[in-house]
Amino acid sequence: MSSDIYTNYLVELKRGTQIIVVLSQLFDKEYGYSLLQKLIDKGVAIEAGTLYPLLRRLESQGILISEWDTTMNRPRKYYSLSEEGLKLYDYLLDEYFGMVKDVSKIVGGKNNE
Amino acid sequence: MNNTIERYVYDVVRRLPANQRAEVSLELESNIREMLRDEPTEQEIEEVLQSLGHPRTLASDYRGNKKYLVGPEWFDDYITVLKIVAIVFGAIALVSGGITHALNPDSETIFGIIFEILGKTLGDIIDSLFQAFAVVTFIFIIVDRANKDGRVMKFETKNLPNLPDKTKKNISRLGTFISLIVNLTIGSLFIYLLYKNMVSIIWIDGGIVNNTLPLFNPSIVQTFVPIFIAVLLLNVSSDIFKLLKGQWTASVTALHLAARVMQAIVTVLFITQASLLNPDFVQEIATFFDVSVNSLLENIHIVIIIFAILISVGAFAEIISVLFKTLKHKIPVEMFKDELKKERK
Repeated sequence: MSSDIYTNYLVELKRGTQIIVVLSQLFDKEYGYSLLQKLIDKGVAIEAGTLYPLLRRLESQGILISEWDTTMNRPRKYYSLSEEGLKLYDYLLDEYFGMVKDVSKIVGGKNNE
Repeated sequence: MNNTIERYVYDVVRRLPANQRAEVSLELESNIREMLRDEPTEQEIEEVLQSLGHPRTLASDYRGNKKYLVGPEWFDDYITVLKIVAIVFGAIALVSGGITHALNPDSETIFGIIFEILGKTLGDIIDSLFQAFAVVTFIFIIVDRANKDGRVMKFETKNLPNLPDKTKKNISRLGTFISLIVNLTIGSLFIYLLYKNMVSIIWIDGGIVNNTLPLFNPSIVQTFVPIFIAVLLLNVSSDIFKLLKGQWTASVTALHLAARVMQAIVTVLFITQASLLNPDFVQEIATFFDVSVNSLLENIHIVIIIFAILISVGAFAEIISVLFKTLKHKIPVEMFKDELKKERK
């Protein structure tokens, strides 16, 4: 099977968890690039081209709040969780752990054959 | 003088709604600068911008919702309708354009006329295909937009289509066979008589053939004979194809529709020719019924118009009914079940 198919399914699998990963790192405010670095450091890198628009979209949905910091020579837009975002994060996290449990149960651990 | 980053950012934000451009522009540029050292080389800028992806893709991610002219839910229907309409429009342009240009050539030489007819007809076909494409696309854009709010996408189970009737999806073999025989015999006989100018009224006086008068104007008949032959061949091949395939597949439907549409158009064009009837014949009839030639022609004209309308309506009804037949039988579940049974044996 072509490696494209592998890649596509992996991307799809990751996409669902992206939002949880991003929300989990926004209890303290971060700007686009600092969040990108943080995620890379923790081994859950998200492409810059995906992350930046995602932040903006989450903000427009009221999940994140933003503020501009113009004190430095380069203006930065900082994002952090709104109250609504906090609730969403809790909800998704519960659902996620439930899913991990159920899925683990049904696949029953990996056998190396 | 290095404005690659600005140009990249501009290429992204120019694709966004106006009220978002300023902010996205500032934020995106700031993020890109953060990804680079203070005095980056052109090479490093290139790498960072490539990692962000095509400006078009990034802009589409910023917009969030995907934009479509005709969305994926409608795309199959769109293509189906487009094909059918293109065939019908193309056939109409081919026949009507071909005949119109053949009857009124500007050129003097035979090759000039042939090239003129081919060229002008091809132009007509391309014109009408573009029109067909535009009209169908426009309608589907409206349908798609109307459904965006989910207004029409709700469905009621009672409106689901009935399952196809297993006996109907096959083309009637007997009917097709009869049509083939009729076409081959009566059709070719008619064309032969036309060609020999023998479609005439025969006057019999006291058991003796007195006088024969050709019904049609010979010059018009000579133009139409090759066209009639072409239509006959098309109909015959459509019938044979139907017999071979036995079912309303897309290609069978296309050929059948093309044949029927052409037949209707050619017939209508033929009977509406201004000088179709032989003047001698009209004179003779007028004398016989003791009416003036003009009032006779007027009456004949009305009858011809009525016939033309009836033929057009009939052809249109046939197109609709065939389309319904084919669209209805798109899901041959029963056939598949039969195949499975056969395999098991």
